[in-house]
Amino acid sequence: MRQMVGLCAGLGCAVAWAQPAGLVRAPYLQLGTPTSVKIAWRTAASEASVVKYGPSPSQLTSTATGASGTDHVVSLGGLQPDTLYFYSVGTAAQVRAPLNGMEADQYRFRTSPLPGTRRPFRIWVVGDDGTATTRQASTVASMKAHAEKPGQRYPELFLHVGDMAYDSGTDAEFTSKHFAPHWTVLRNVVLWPAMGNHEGVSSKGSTQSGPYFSSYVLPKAGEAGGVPSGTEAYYSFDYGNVHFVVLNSHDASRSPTGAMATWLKSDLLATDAEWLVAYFHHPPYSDGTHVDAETQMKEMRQNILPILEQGGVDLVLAGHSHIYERSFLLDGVYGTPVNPTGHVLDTGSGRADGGTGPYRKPAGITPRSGTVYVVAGHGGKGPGGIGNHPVMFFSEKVNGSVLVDVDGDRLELTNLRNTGVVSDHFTLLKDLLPDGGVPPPDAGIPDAGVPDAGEAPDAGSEPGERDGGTAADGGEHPDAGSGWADGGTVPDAGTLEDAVGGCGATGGAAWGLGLLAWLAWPRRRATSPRAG
Amino acid sequence: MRGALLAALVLLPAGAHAHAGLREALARLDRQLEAGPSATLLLDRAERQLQDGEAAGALADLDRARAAPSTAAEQRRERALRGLVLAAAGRGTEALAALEQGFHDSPTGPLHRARAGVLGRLGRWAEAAEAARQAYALTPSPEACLEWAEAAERAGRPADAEAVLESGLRQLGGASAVRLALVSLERRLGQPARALRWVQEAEAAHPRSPEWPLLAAELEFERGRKAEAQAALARASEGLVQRARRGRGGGLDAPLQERARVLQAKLGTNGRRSP
Repeated sequence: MRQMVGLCAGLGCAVAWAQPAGLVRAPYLQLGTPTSVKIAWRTAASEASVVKYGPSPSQLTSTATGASGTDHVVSLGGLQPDTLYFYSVGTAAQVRAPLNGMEADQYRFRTSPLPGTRRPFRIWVVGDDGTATTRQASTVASMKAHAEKPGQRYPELFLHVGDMAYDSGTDAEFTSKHFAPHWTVLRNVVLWPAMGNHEGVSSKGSTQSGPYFSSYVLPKAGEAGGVPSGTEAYYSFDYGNVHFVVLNSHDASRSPTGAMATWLKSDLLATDAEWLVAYFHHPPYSDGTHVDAETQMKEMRQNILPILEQGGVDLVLAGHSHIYERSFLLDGVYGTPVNPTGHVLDTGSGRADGGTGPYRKPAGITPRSGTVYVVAGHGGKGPGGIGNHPVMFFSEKVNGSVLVDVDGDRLELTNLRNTGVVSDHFTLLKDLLPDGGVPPPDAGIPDAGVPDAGEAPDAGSEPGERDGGTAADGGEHPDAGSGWADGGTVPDAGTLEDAVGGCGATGGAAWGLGLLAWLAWPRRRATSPRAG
Repeated sequence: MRGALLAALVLLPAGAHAHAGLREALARLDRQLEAGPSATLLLDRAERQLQDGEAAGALADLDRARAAPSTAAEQRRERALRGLVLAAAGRGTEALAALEQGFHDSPTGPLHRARAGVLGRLGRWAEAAEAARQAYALTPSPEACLEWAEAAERAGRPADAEAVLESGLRQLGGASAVRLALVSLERRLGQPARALRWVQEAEAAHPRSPEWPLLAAELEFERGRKAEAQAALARASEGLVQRARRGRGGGLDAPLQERARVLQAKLGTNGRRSP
C-alpha cells in the first residue's frame, strides 16, 4: 500500500507518496493525553466520521463519531493510560483505513502515561523537512530503520520544530510535503508541532488561522497538562515525567511582558515534572543557514531564554537553520553578539560512553542548572552555513533528525543522519545532590547504550563539515571551567529564609521549613566535577 | 495588560527582517510579475511586503494593482490591504478611511485589530474598544482579549474591561495571561474580593504552583483579612519551601519569595500593632 515514487535518484529530488486509496490525508493523531486522543484525516468528498477502536485489530469494539465533512476529527475519550489501542477510520458503511484490512496492526496508538510516570520512552524531533524530496524521505526512512535495530525503540512522540510545509505552508503543501511523507509515522505517534516561518506565510498565529491551524488540534486550555495558554499558537503538555513547552517564535509577541511570556511563567511555575523540554522554530544560537542576529532569534534569546532558564529548562530544541548543532551545557547566554564566556557550565562532550562523561544536573527541575540547545533544522532542506558557533560542542551540515530518549533521571539525545549514521550524542543525568555535589562513587554512571556511537563523529564526510572531535576539546573554549563560578546570579541563600521564614503569624512551621530550605538550597560550586 | 495595546494592537511586522520564506516568496513573485503582471500577483506581493515591513513597496504595488484590470474580489482585497499598509506606515487618518472601506467589503479580525490600533494611537479609545471588540469576536485570542480590555479601560469604562476579561477567561479556557490581567484590573479598581475569586479558581486548578496562593494572600491582605492572608501565605510558603527542597528555589520562584517576604513583614508588623 505504501509507495514512494522517486522522480529522480539524487538527494533533494522530488518524491511523491501514495497514501491509502480514498484518503487525501491518512489518519494522524493529535492532542494525546493519558485518557484521550484525537484522530484526524481528510477525504476528497464530504462524508461521515467514524472511528472504531479496541484492544486488537480484530476487536475494534468501541465506536466514536465526529462531524461529517472532508476534514475529519474524532475524539476518543475514556481511554486507559499508557495503553495500546488499534483503530480504523471511515464511515459507518465503509472503512477507509486500514483499507481492506491491509496493515490493520499498523493503525494503532498508545495513550500517554500518567504525568510523573517514570518509564523509558523515545521522542523524534524533526525540523525544516517539508520538501517532499529524497532528503526528507531518507530522514524518515533512517529513523524507522534505526528504531528497528536491536535495543532501539520506536518513538512515542513526534515533535516538529517548524517549516514542515515549504515554501509557503499552503494547504496543498501541508498535504503533499508533510502529511504524505509522514503518514506511516503520524498514524501511530501523536505530533506536537511548532509553527515555522514558512507556515507563517499562509498562517497567522495572532488569529490562529490558515492551513497550520486548520491542520492541527492543539491544547489551549491545558487539556494535556500545563497551564491554559488560551491559544493554539503556543501551548504545553505533559508526557510521563517530562513537561513540554511549545512556543511561537515566529509571529507571537516575544516581549518579556507579552501574553506568551506571561503564560510561560505561570506554566513553568505550575509544573512538577522531572524534566523540562522547550521547543520553537527560531534557534537562539546558530551558525548555519541562519545566524542568530535575526530578530526572532535575538528576541527569543534575550527575552524568552531567561524565563526558560529561570524555570529550569533542560533541553531547548529549534530548527530554522538548516544544520545540526548541539551546545555545551549552558546558562545565561542572552546577549548580542553571543558571548558564552562565563556561561558554559560543562565544557565536556556530555558523552557517557567516553570522553568527559555525561552532563550532570541536580534531580528535578532546577533553575539555571544548565541547558543544552539543539538546532535540528536539518530534516529536508539542503544544509549549509558555517557551523562554528562558540556555544556549540558539535555541528554538522548533513540531513537527519534527532532522537531523545528519556528514562527516569537520564536523558539521551542522538543525532541520526539520514544515512543511518549516529554522528553525535550526549547524556544529561540528573543525579547531582541539591548542592551540586556528586553522588557517592558506587552510584556509578550507566553506559549510554547507544549502539553505533562509535561511528561518530565522521569528520570529513562532507566538505566544510566541522570536526566534532576538535570542538569537543574543552581547552579551546575561552572560559573552560569558569561557568559554575557565576554564582552571583543565584539568589543568596538567605533570600528564601527571609522570604518564608520571617517571624509572624505563619508561625514556627514556616520558619522551620525556611531553615530546611536554606539547608537544601542548591548552590553552584566551583568544585563541580565538570567545572573543576 | 496596560501599555500592551499600543505595542501589540496593530497586526504589523516588527520591522524589516525578511525571513527565508518571505524572501523566497517575494523572489518568486518578482519573477512571475516580470513574466506577466496581474492584479492578483501585485496584491500577493503587496501582502508579502507588508509582512516584511516594507510599507512603501507594498503601497506601490497596491497602486499598480488599483490601476490594473481587476475583478471585484481583487478590488476588495486591494482596499483591505491598503488599510493595513497605511496603518503599518503610521498614516492614521488615511488608514482609517481605507479600513472603513475594507469593512464594507469584508470585515475580518485583522482589519478590526489594525483599526483599533490606529484609533488607539490617535487617542480615540472608545472607538478603539469597539474595533477591538469586533476583532476579538472574529478571532478570539488572549492577545485580542487583552487589547480589547485595555482599550475599554483607557476609554474610561473599567467595568466593560472587567466584563471583557471575564468573558475572555471563560471563552479561552482559563488563559493565564487573561486571568492575571483580570486580577490586576480588579486590584486597580479596588476590588480584591473579586480578584480573589479568579485566583482561587486558578489555585484549585494548579495546586502545585505557588503563584496563586501568594496572590491570594496579597489580596486577602488588601481586603484587611489578616487571618485569611496568613493562611494563604502559609500555603504559598509551604509550596515555595517544598520546591526549594527539590532544588527549585530561586529562578522564577525568587520574585515570589521576595513578595512573600514583604507580605510576611507587613502581616507581622500589623499583627503586633493590632489589639
